Amino acid sequence: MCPDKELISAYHDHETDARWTMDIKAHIEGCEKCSIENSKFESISSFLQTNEVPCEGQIKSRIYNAIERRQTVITPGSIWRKHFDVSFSAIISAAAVVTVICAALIIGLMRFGQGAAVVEEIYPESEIVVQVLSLEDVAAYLLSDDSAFDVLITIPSSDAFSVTGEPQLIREADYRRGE
Amino acid sequence: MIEDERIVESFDQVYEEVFSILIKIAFHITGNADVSEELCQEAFVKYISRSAKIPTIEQSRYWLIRVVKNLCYNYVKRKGREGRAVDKIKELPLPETDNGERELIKKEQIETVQAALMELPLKLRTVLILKEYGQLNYKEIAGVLKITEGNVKVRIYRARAGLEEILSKEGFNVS
Repeated sequence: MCPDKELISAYHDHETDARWTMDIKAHIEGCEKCSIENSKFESISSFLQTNEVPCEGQIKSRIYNAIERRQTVITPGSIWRKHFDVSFSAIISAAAVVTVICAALIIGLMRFGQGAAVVEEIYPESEIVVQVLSLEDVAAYLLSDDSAFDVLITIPSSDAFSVTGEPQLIREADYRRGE
Repeated sequence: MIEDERIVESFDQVYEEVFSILIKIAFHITGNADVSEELCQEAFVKYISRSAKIPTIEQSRYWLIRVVKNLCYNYVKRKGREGRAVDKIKELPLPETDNGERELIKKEQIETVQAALMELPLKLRTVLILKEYGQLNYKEIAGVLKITEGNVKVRIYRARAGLEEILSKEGFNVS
């Protein structure tokens, strides 16, 4: 009896259970029909592997340069080797200004850090925005295989919108997550 | 940490190892080289801000693939350009290495295979792209797409069967 085609496809990807791999291999070698099926998967993989991205080398350089530009830090160079004549009072004033700025920055960063953590938790990596017009659309999205794992539903802010009845939608989402 | 996983020593190391995988995934999902370039750049910029929390090359690769896949989905869904992407493929520039007639034949083949991929439904196309270009196993693909490994197996087979049908109609010898 021949294995189903999904199993041959998985065999092609080296994804079959180790206990069955040798049996499937032996079957494919002795069965013309399954051998042809396996060859088809190999051909498709081969076509896909030769499918290049146009100008990949140029894109690689452009992205790298763009990232490098963003990362560039202007270094002081030989400024430390130069001699300046600065009065003592000016140094004290500058130190006071620097201290105030640093304190403000530290407080600001601490507050920003607390806020950012919450946002990061809710929106890992990148959010997908799906605009819907009805609750049926929301349900269809939640039931689709492409729906995100964490879904934030934003209710319209209009006064004309009101929520009534049982929260079936939330229950359905919870049920799906438990699968 | 798994024994053969490698610690990230520099951004350049990750870039060299992952760029090619990432641009292929983005290009074959969106069907548009310019968009793929933007999305990959965005993914790497996000990575830089997170890289301290991602210690190994393998985790970096997996993380970047997840991000770029999400960015691609975002693009396809928000802009609704999936249908028009096939037309964009006809505008592809020539590959940079080959010459003359060979180049033309190769370009036609690339266009046909890419157009065939774009004819597949997004969820079948993505799973096959992650397998063929992302170098991910079924478990990793299941993690990226938040589906079961069994579902990955079924989708990959259906994607291959669909692609075989389309390519056969286009005169490709799929056997």
